Amino acid sequence: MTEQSLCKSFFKSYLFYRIKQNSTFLVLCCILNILALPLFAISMNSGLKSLVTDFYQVSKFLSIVMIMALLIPAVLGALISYDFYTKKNLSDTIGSLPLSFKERFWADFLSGYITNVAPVIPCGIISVCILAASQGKFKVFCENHDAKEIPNLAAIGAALFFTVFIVLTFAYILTTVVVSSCGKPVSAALFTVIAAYGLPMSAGGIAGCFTCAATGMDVSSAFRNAFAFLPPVGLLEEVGGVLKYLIDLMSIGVPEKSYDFIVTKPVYISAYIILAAALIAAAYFIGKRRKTESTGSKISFKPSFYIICILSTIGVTLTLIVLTYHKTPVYLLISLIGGAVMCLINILIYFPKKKNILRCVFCGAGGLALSFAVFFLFDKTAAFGLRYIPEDGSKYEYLTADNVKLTDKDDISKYAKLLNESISDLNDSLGYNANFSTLDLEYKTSDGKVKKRSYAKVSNSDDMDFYDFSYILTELDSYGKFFFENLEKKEELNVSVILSDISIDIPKDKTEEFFSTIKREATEKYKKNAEAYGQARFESGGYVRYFYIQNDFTDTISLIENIGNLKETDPESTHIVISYNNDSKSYDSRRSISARVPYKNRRNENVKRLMELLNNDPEFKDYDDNFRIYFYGFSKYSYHVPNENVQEVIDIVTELAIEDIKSYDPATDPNNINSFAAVD
Amino acid sequence: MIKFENVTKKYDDFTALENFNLEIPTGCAYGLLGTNGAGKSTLLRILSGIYRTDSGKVTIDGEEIYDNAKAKQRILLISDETSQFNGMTLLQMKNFYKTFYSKFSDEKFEQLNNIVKLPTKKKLGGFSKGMKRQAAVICGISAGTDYLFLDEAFDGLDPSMRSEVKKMIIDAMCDNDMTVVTSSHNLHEIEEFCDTVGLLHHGNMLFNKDLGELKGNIHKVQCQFDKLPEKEDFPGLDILLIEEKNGFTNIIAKGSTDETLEKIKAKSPSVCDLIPLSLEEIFIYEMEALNYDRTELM
Repeated sequence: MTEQSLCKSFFKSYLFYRIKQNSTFLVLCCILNILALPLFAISMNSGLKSLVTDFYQVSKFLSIVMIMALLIPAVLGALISYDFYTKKNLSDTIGSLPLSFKERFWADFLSGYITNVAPVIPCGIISVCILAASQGKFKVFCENHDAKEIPNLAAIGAALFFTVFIVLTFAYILTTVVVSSCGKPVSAALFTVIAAYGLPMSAGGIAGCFTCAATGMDVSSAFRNAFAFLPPVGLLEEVGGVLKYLIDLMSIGVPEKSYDFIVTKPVYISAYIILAAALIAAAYFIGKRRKTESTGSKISFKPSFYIICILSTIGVTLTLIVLTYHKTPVYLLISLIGGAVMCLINILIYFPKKKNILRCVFCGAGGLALSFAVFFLFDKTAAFGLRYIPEDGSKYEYLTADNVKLTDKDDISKYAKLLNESISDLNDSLGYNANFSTLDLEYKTSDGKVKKRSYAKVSNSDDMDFYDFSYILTELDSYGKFFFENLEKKEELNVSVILSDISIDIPKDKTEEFFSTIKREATEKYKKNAEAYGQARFESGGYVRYFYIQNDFTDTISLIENIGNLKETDPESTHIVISYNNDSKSYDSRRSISARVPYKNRRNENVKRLMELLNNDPEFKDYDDNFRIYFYGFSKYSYHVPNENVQEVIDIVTELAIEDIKSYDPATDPNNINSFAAVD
Repeated sequence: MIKFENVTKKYDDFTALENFNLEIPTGCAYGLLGTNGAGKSTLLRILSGIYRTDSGKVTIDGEEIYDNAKAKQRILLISDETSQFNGMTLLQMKNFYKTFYSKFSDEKFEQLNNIVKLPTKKKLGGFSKGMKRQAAVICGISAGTDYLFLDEAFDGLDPSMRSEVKKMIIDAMCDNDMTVVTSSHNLHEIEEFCDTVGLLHHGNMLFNKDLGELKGNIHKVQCQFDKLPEKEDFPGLDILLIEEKNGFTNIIAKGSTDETLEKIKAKSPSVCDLIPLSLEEIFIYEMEALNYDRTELM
């Protein structure tokens, strides 16, 4: 036997020895997997569902069992597979065996993986087979008897198992990295949890801060996207999402949109392979560098602890910045405290010697400093200039903003310049106002790339600078072609018009008059391009377009005034919407109207009279008449309106609304605005 | 041959071995002495390829040991801790070693177990400490390695079993030209078993000598003089101690036996007998000669 074959045979021997050693755990994992996954599949099968009496309870139970059955063994399994990293007597025995580190590492890694993660593969296959068989032999319907048959359940199941498989794989690999750095099982388990959250939270925090700097948008979706991508904890959300989707399938029927599985996209698969390889390389490096004699101490490879400490501090700090940035002026303080607490937790788990405490504090402070540096870097550089769109119109094929498609190069250039100018201090303009609407942009560059951007825009805010992105559109000569075409199409439909905060349906008998009026006035205004219009929003069914009605469309406004006179409108046929901060509420068989009152008009006669008519009790109390008026500013107030004053209140608010439409010009009068709304 | 060259090993702030040099010839039974924390276990773990040195080089027959599967195939450590095998039977423990050591001899194992008569199908967790030691030793010897390292291996063995185990190891050494390094803080164990001894103290080798040479070079002569002599009365003799006890004068001197006796007899003592020295006594005198307090060392 050659020396080389001797070493090879010992690798195999050691691998089988480790698998044999973990055989009890292997059996346990198999049982848990068999309990969790195939049973879950069976529970989804209507043909076999008679086996269970309460589908929902069983589904919930199995979901919990499934996650517990899969995740805990993956973490515990890694801890058990690397028990010689945490037990001194074993580290001597294993360390003295005639194996190179490379052989030992791969044997340990593979044996643990085979024992703890691999059982999910046959169990997943069994489950998918059950689902596939169900599809052919039984009719699989959702709980709602009228709904369609659930399609392709086996494919959904297969994607689910693949997701679970990736979650488990990463839970195992991450635990391997952490346990290689720890000398005690408890510290390894705790740091695994911290690392499992720290990694996706850091990624989510960076993505969130970047998005915030680039668009001013609510960053929670960017945070969640980055967080959800990263296994194991992040991707566990995906598993939860799929399970919820499956339960929804069973209960409410086939949704319009099928579930978008992360793990079926090649780009994610590639990213997971790279990430897994990086983590395994880290585990190998740490295992090789760690000192055997540190077995039994909490941390056996200190650099790992410092990295976890920094990473978790960054994760918590950036996450808190993301969550509080647009909500409170003390967001930095909150983030600072959160990051410091995370650092303290790390130190308490480690509880090192005095001199190490200082290092830990430095790591925590470094993590905090790094977090703020990242945040301010993104913010001050406007996400490295990504906030802005190119100003050279010749680089575009088209640009669509607020559903308006621009193709004229000069118009695009003009729009891009105005937009870039208005968003230069985007986040400062937004301030601590978490309520904003969005401007959706899509543009195609001359090299054929289509890009989509969204920006936050304040729709109503007190004491805040306000700039309406949409107004920029009306300044363009070619504005309107797109709307004109749509306007033509809409003449035959039921139309409602939303003017600022008011929404009213145009009665059928008035539709033609309305369209001819607005067409005439728009044609007069945009002589240069007779297809252009101001802004109004025409709404019918699911088909929504936005237009601007300019102040000088006097006839159109007058027509709307008449239609919008609620006193003359049949409540049963009037669809009323209160629109505030992009949050629309519909009231069937009820009427509402709202109006914005510019800051400078707060003390005008109408407002003074309105306040006199209201009950001087801003508290919510039960009144028989159930008539209230709502004031929206920095906060929302509700006033009871005495019965005898109801009609006059409606009249005044209607008048205010009309004034609002007539006078509002954001370009020339960017004053602070309060919004009043009255509801009956 | 085992060779340590300028080896330093530190545990954080504590230095276990510092610029340590040692050579242990093949076929030698080497005894490592020292107090707890002297560095004995560290030295054995470095030798077994478990610990990596911070600096310096450790070789066995010219090959470095750490992360070297080929070199480690020739060595086996019997640790002072055996609880890791508690879940195994003796047969499973044998199979464990047999898996990794290609020269493992079932025959030898049977032969040795016939001496100690340990139950092969009972879990080691149910064994006494001494039985576990025996189990580890018979597996270690049966592995047929060229080097056997024993860390406090005789702890917990009763005198008769200790003697049996020692005999097993000595037989294995004779049969296979095995090199044995054993650590202990018990001088008697080392004296009975080893041919070379080293004394570790705070990570340094204070003392490293062949036991025969050591014993042959230091003598205790019991004499009776009319008057208690002084060191100066024996010119040319390296006298470590002269004391009077029970009417006799005990002279501890270094040098050859004949020369020592000749120079003492030249002073015409009425009685002059050569008394054998125990290793403990030799150590005491040697260390005192080096100005060490023996209580610190042993």
